[in-house]
Amino acid sequence: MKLNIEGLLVYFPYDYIYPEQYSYMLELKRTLDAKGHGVLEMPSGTGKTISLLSLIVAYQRAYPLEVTKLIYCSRTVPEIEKVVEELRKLMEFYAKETGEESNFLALALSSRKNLCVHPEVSSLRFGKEVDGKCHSLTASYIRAQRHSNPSVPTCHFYEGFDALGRQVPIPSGIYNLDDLKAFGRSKGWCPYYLARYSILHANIVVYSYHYLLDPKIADLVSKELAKKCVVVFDEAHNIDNVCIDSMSVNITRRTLDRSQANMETLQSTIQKIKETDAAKLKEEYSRLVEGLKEANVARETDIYLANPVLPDEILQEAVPGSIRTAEHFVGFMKRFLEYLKSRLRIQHVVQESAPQFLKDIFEKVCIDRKPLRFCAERLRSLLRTLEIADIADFSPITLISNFATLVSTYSRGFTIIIEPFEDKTPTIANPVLHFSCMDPSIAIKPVFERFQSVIITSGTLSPLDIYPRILDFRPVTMASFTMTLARTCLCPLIVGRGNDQVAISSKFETREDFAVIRNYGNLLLELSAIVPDGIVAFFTSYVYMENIVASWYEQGILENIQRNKLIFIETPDAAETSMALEKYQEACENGRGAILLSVARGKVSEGIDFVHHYGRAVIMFGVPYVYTQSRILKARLEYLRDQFQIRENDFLTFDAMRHAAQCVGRAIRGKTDYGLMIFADKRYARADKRGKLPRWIQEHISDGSLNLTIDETVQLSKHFLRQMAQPFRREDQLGLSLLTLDQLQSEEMLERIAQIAHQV
Amino acid sequence: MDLYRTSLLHRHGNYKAMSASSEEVLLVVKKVRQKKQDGTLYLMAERIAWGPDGKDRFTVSHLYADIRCQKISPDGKAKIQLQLVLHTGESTTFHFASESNALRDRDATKELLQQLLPKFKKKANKELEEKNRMLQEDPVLFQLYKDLVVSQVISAEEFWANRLSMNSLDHPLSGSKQEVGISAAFLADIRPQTDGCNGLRYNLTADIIESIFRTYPAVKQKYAENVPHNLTEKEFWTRFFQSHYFHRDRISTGLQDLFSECAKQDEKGLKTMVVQGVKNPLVNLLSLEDKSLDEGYGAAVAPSTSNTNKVKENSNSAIIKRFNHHSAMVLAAGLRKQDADQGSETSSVDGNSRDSDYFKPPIKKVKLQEAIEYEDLERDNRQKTVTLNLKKSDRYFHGPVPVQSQNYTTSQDIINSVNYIQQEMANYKPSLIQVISSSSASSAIAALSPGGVLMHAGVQQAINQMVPLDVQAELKHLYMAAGELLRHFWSCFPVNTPFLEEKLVKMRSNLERFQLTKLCPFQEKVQHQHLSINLTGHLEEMLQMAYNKFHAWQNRHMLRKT
Repeated sequence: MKLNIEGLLVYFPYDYIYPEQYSYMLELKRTLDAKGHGVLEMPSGTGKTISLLSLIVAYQRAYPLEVTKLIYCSRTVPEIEKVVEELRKLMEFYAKETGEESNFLALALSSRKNLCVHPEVSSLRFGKEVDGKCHSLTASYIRAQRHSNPSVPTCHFYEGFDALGRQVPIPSGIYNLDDLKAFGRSKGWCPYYLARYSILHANIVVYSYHYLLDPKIADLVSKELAKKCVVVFDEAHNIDNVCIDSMSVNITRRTLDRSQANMETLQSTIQKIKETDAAKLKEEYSRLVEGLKEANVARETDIYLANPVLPDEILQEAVPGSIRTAEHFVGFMKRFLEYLKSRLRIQHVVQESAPQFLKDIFEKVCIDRKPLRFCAERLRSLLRTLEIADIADFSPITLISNFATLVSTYSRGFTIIIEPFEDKTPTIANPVLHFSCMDPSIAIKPVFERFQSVIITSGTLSPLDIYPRILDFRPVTMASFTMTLARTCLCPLIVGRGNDQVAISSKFETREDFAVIRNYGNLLLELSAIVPDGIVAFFTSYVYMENIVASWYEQGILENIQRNKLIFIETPDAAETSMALEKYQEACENGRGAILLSVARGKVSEGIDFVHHYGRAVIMFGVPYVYTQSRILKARLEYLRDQFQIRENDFLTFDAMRHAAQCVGRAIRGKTDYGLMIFADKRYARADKRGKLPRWIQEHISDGSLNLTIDETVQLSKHFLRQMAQPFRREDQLGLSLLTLDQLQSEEMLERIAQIAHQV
Repeated sequence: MDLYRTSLLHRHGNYKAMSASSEEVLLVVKKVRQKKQDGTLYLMAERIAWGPDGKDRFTVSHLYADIRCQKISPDGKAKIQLQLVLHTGESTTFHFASESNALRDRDATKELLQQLLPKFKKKANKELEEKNRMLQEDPVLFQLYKDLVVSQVISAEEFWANRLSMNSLDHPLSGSKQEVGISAAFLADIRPQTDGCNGLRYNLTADIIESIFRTYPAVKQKYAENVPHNLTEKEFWTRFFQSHYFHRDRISTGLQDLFSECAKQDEKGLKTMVVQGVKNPLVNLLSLEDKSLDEGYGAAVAPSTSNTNKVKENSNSAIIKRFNHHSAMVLAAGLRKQDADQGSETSSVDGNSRDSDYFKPPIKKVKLQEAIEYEDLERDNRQKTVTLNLKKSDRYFHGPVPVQSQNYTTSQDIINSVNYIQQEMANYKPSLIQVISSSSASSAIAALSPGGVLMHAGVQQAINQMVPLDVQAELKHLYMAAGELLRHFWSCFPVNTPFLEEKLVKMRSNLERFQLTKLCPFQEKVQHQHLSINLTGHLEEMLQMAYNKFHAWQNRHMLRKT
């Protein structure tokens, strides 16, 4: 259908539309009009992606000069591919309606592992190996060597791309990962480099968060993306953790040892080069004297995305003399390594700020702040000059240099914690230096500053106002949408007591209580008897799940559950879990029914959907609080309190509830789907917990479903399931939760739609 | 046992008098009470019988085929009994009353019955019933049976020899009953009960054993290897329940366990399953992440190597692994049969690799489409189609192609040729100069018209009218009988076993007998009626062909022998 969204013609590739999709597009349009950032929470499974794509594509076509590019970031590879497929559907609709081939270019970008077509390289299993091997075949000096020595192996796909790929732009169209590979194979061009090159002029780019948020990758891939882009972070409920992860560094003894080895290699290479090709080093020296002028010019003219590891100050200056020559730099780094080693030789935990660390290092080994800041850039220059073949080998020393730059650049937002051993094993010395980022805004700041509109969206972003605070940006729209339903297809229930009236809760004091474990078991047992097909149960942590499973086994509860359904359990091993997951789906598929026991914050809870019969009930055993004893977390909580006035408990509850919501939200997709959402902990009934659930779940928790016993839960569930089993036709939905174009245009409906968006 | 054997030999003569015809007596047990009467129990080749002391007839006699199962009284009970349950639901209980070795008597009986019963279980009735049914359902077959067996051209056994197997091949579904799935909790059903004196008792039924075997083929193999030559059945299961394998949560004691090998095999199976990976890319957790953080980055510490080594295989994770494995095995046991069917099908087709993959869209694409579909937003819920699962697409397009034709055409060829023909047709211009003359054209038409030189269909019509109906019917029967015999005859080739050799010779004599007793009288009859047409010519030709073949084979056979 063709929609009119406040004067913008939007092609929507379906014949019907959910009211909330219309409302979502309205808000999105207002955000784009204002050229600002937005935070939008839309219930999972209500067609968020297609609404986003429809509106932004329409916007791009209407105002090609205002919005030149859509950068769509998602979390996992399957999600990226799903987005591209939805886009394909949209574009096919455009072609059908307008009758003309659009000249849109949209493509997915992923790591080499997913895009490589080189027969040998692509057969490697791990991403890092693929990257390393690729680098050893395509690095510029390797290819230069080939000119003199044709026996040096290179990748002919890369050669093909290098020879022709840049002159002839990739024909317009929609390219998923497999399409890129097929295209690359047919042309003999490397799909990865082709995609990386093509994102510069593509209209839509779909890739994962890391390409924007991880400075190491963003600097390579996304640096040159134009300002007039709309950036969308989908499934963004965890975006702060992604930011923090990309800026935090851990240094162990092993890292230091390997760095040491790296330095030895560098030294000997320098020695060799000095004998054969001293001019090269001289050239580098003079380049360093001139400083990073080039980068500076680029940044001033606003061509490049800023890199948080490359602070502004160092662009103004030349590289300090003390590390300008290669030997001096090597010596400098060795000194730094020695210092770090000495810091790891401790018996007790040390926590200090970056300035304290800098002061200490100056006092102990006379290393100044200034040269430290240039470390990352200086090392990169050296590695380039020395023509190091396998960069992957030098990852430890790169890590150290990044640490040096970060610690000397940011006086706030980071903390240094040195732990001599792990908490669980106090007898085994395993010292680790955590250089931990506590402020997610550092990594995401360049993105907010550079791009015109950044949309943060997910099914579960409640409470909305916390994201702008922790990410430090000012959104123009913040809205949460409800789910209009013709029948209540989700049924959140809070189970607070067992049939024996013992309160059930995963809180620390009672979690090992026999009665609690037994009641949890009974809950699962009873539900396994009444819920059809698949049940997914989430535990708060892996260790907790292991203990509960063991005691359920001893009590014979699992055996009784097996009478009703097959049981599959997540393990720490990803391959094993994948297999269990597939078998689980198979069992749901062939009608046998199965239960999947899984862990909140685990891979399953983050990346796998349990739609329709794959998840007719989700049980959340306990409140998934993060492990609060970790020093890093404590430091972060302190920082949040001091900087953003967010109380520790508020943040912890927020964090737990977003994961709980994420877990239960996996079961619903679309309005024809239905599922039970069982929160098995009496703490969920409290207002401070319940209030942090997304609005579309919260609305359906009535006061009557707050502190149920297992029996009551079973009764309510039975009732719900029986209702849901009735035939559900389109006519039931039409006009309420599903609209035709005519219905959409009525005055009354537009008024009702305005209610759906809940502005914060 | 020895005692009985001697007594058996000793008294063998007497039984002949007792039973109607001579039967082999396998076991005799004295001092067995039935309905409070003392008597003797006899186990014979085909039945079990009991006669009271002092009388020379059996008051109880059951064919083994009638017995459904036997039950024995638990160990430790005062009365040592054995109960036979019949298919009709009746049961007979024998009480072993010998003071000194009642238990031994009973066990000997039980063991023997255990071996005998399965042999009779399915065979006897079913087969007869089946034959009867077939004859009733198929009048042609019945006629054939009359012609060949009743008139003693061939024996009944020969007649049925490949009929039955053929039949079972034709309708594999009608015969076998539907496979029942396995309950996931079958192990839980073996609830151990304490017997009051520091022991545990497990109740095993045939169903549970079947479940165990189907779910854990490794155990089945162990069973086949060890029972009954190394262990008795009871010992085997006792060991099974004591094993670390059954109680996976117990850490292995390190003792030489019969089932430790099974555990290893399971482990290996699990590993291969894991290594094979998953078919559905959307659930593959390994490739979920696009770009993992490099080593050393990230807020949460990746477990260092020293840490992973320490995480020992504790019992909890063993339980978790076991549940995953158990569920996977139960699921697989249900699917195994289907797979086997499919597997045999593919291999039997022609050994070619299936190219259905080529026609089915890749699984990834399908799953992605499924994942982005909103059924209620689409206008018409289009009929969902099922993708055609073709083992060999060319077959589908071309129909059966003789195997020997080497140059069979591919679908592309056919499309090309159709295109080519279409093109030819479009461009076809009749060249009027090169037509044949009108006279030859009309003669060709005449030749192809009914009654013409090239149309010989009229002859058959003539036979219809010329030959009386009863002769026609008789001829039909003769053809059928001859066909059956010839089928038997030709099925002996290639003659590669002594059995076939024997059969071949026999079949030839059968054919000769057929010719003498059936064909010749018919010929004479036809001659009597003065029918001019040679009705039996073709039959004779076929028989002659068979004789020729036989002679050729015989000559070669003789030659090879000398």
